[in-house]
Amino acid sequence: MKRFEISVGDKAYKIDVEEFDGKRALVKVDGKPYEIEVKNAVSPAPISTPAQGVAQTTAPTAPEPPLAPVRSATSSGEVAAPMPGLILDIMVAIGDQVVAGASVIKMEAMKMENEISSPIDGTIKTIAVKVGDNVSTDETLMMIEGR
Amino acid sequence: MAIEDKIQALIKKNTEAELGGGQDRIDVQHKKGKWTARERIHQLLDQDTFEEIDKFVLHQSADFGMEKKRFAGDGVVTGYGRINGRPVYVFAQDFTISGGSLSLAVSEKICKVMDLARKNGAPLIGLNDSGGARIQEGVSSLAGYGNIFMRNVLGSGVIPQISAIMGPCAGGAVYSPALTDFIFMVEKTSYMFITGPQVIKSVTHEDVTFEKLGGALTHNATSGVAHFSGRDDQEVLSMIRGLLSFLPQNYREDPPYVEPADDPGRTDMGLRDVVPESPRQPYDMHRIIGSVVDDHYLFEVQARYAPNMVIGFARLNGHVVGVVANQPSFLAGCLDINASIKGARFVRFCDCFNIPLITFCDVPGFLPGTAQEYGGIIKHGAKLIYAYCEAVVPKITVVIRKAYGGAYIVMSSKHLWGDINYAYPTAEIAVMGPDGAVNIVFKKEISAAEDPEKKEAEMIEEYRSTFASPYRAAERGYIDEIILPEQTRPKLIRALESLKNKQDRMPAKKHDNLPL
Repeated sequence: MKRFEISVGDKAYKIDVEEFDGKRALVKVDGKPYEIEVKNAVSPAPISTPAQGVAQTTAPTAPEPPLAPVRSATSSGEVAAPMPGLILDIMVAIGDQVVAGASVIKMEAMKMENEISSPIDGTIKTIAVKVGDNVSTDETLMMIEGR
Repeated sequence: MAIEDKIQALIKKNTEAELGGGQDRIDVQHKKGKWTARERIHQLLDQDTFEEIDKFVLHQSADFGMEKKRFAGDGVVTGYGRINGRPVYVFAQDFTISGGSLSLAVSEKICKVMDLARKNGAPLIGLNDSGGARIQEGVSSLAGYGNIFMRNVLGSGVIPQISAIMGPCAGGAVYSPALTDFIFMVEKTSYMFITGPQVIKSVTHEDVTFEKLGGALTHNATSGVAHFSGRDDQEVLSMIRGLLSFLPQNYREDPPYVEPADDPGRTDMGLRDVVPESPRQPYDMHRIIGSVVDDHYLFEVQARYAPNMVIGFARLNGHVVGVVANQPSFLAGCLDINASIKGARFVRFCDCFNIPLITFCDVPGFLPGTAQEYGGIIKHGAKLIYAYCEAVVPKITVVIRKAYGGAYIVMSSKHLWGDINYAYPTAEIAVMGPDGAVNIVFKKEISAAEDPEKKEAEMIEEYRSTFASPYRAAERGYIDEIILPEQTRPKLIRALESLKNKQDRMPAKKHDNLPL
């Protein structure tokens, strides 16, 4: 396992690369597990080649797995509650820059802590709730202005 | 005419035909970032394997001066070839001829390859790129669509049928892809809808763009109509090849086995750390799936729709399996309408094509709320139950953590004739969670207690240790074995091996009445 500490813009991240076979990596970013597919494979013989059998003209591509725990379906900057619940934590402030998939709000629902992530890259424009608020499905939690 | 002249005439006709509507129209297609029909077919199939048929078919219509506008092949290129060495049939609509619009002749070409595919037991791939019905043909064009739909249904469950939307696909034309097994869409250059923005504007006064109404993202993430999306023509065609590598040629065959490079005995101590200590914390189910399957490789289907349910194809020791899993990091892993439908269709597809099902369960229940109730969660949840009951392929289940109430039954439990049912030590198999259960069962004791809150907490702890575990279920044989997490992969592989000759069938009937 390798530990990297990198910064993207203003934000610093701790990355633990747990497994990497040249094509696919299992990493933890700040403790949260992700599975990454590498577009330009490092090893000369990608492990998935035997699955194809006969040599072919183009290598098949897997559809990209969602990297974020929660992904909003919209392409607008609205962060809406996916289900009724209680706001536990707001991880950003107005003016913060976020990337698509970054966790912005933690809410309790169905007896679990759910992390809600930003649907787009952008800047936090408005925050409509505070910690302790009860929200209903589709209620707007925050608005993000796209870059 | 001398024989040599006849030969030369044929060569010339072939060359002309392969230009479709002409170089100018080819250039327009390229400018939009789209390939032509023949370019797409050559990219899709193994090199030099494409055999085109019906290249000289002309439409037979004579209204509106159409007899003067005849192009060889009309608006579609059809034929057969190979993908990964295995036979497939393909049609690709040709946007350079009459905007790819559908005439009776086009539909006859398409129906011909559909019949060949079905009778010869080989997958059918349709590349859609069409302005729709050819208005000049009138009702003949509608007849054409109808003929295609009938054959989609004749072939459904017989051979895999795959559609790619690589341009416009509007009106009745969308129903052919809708009847097929999987739909791929190209981002930004393709769209599907029944009625377009102009008609919508005039009737309901809503303003919406083509992309927003029926583009790749809308259908992959919002409507769930499409299963995959790609950046461009090339990526989509490559993904189709990838999908086919998991599928048999037809319902009578097993999926293709591939000599595995991944050790079937591979254990992963890291699996002990995936489930957090607190039942309130989510985790990414992909971490477990990725650890277990060959080469950590899941070919995920509908990744952006109903993310609370993960479905996809993978291999275990070289054998193809269909994976179905709750995703605790979205909607707490609850089952809702969209997830139920997503799962049910996939389970039924796997059953059609002899693909064993591996189910990973961590579900606290069905998503509550009036939106779900009014939306009919009752009938949609029933679809998933139906699909699992009906499936006669090997069914192996691993309960990772939560399995409460009806949702426990739904997720391929022993009671729906799951063949082998495993559970982790962290499994919580119970009628409901401790918090809810205690307030019903011990209501009197709690309200009578000196310190009700303390009593409640005590009772919750007692309930948790007694019921929120896999042991009650294991004592009754509802769970075959409670396993160490690191053993998941070898256990699944051995279970799968033991089930490889499973034979079962539903009682004879005309056909089912799946709640729709």
